[in-house]
Amino acid sequence: MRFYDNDFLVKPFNDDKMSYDIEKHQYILDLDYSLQETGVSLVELWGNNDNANGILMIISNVSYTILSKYKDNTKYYDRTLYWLSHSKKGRDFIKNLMLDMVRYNHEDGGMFIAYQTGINLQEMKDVQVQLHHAYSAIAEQIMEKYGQQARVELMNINTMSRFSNLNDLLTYMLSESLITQEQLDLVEEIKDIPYNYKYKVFINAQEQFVCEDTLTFKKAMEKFGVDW
Amino acid sequence: MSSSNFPFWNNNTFGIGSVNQFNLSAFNPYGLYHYTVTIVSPVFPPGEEPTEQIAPDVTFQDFLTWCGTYVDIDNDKHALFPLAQALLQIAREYIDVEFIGEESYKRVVCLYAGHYLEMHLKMLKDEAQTQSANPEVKDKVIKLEQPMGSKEDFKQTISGTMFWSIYGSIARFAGRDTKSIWGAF
Repeated sequence: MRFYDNDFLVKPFNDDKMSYDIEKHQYILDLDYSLQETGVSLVELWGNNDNANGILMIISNVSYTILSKYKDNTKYYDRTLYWLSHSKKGRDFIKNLMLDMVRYNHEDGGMFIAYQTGINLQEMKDVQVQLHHAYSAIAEQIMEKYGQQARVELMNINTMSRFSNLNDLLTYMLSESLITQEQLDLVEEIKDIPYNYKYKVFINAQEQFVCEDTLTFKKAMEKFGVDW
Repeated sequence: MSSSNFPFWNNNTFGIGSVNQFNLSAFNPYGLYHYTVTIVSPVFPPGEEPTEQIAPDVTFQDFLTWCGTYVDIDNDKHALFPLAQALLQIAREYIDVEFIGEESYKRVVCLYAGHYLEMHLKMLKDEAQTQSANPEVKDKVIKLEQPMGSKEDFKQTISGTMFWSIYGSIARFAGRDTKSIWGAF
């Protein structure tokens, strides 16, 4: 999956398509937008606006949960949440996934099949309900298309500052207090820049000088649940 | 004295086990004892100092050419990019341009990096969840070939197989003089 330089969102935002729940760190579809895109009237199906919005909330919960199917969640789920909240592509992905869930729910039980026990005591039968009953075959492909079936989070979410030459990189590092003037005076090549856990400097494939803020995610997690 | 020591055009010395053996060979009318070697003159030009071959620069674009399956990682936002870059740097140090020649150097370096990148990717994916706090996956068999730290590891990946098919055939002989090939492992 490709990543784009201008993909980063400083903050997740609300618009006429989705709103962002800051406590759950989840997007929720807008009711009118859902109707416009899918043609499925949730208000008609579920009786009123409150019920329909409730269903959209459940769809959001289920969508974010099925994402965790493929990942090692002890390591990567928070990073995935961060990516979904701070990426234009991630926002586009979760929107498409939730729209597909709305369509899937229009047919024969939809995601609620996954909430069945599958046990028929009268006939002593036990149907094995699987997670993939909660979403459509198309949703599976949407996840694959956006790289969300990867076991690891392939998007490096650290902030990158790119420069065309070494002097600009050093000036930036000095202004950010990452190195001192004494250290800077000793630098002739990029490999002379001292190592530090706070940053990583390297030359990328486009021959640009890059300073990577290795504490980006740590700083983000300090604001988790409050201001992301 | 053995027949393998017969002085062919490319083998102008022969060895003997002892003085007795040398004297005994005099009884053999066809033995090397009866050969006379005459050096007419030292006709060879003075030897030249061997020139050190300089390895060509291998860029990330070269890596993407030879290991096209990693076409998406040329962005520094990709989590595998720094790993690929580091492996390329290591490959440049390990692969000896004097063994492989300038023409094949880039290809071999890239395949070597591609092999280890694939191995690292296997490790990162950790499909059996042995390196995770989550329960190990036991309800299905996931076959993971374990790296053994030998040249056999190269058989585990496509890049590694290609790398060893080119470099291995040369490197297996190259280690017999003063040069070592252990860096390739």
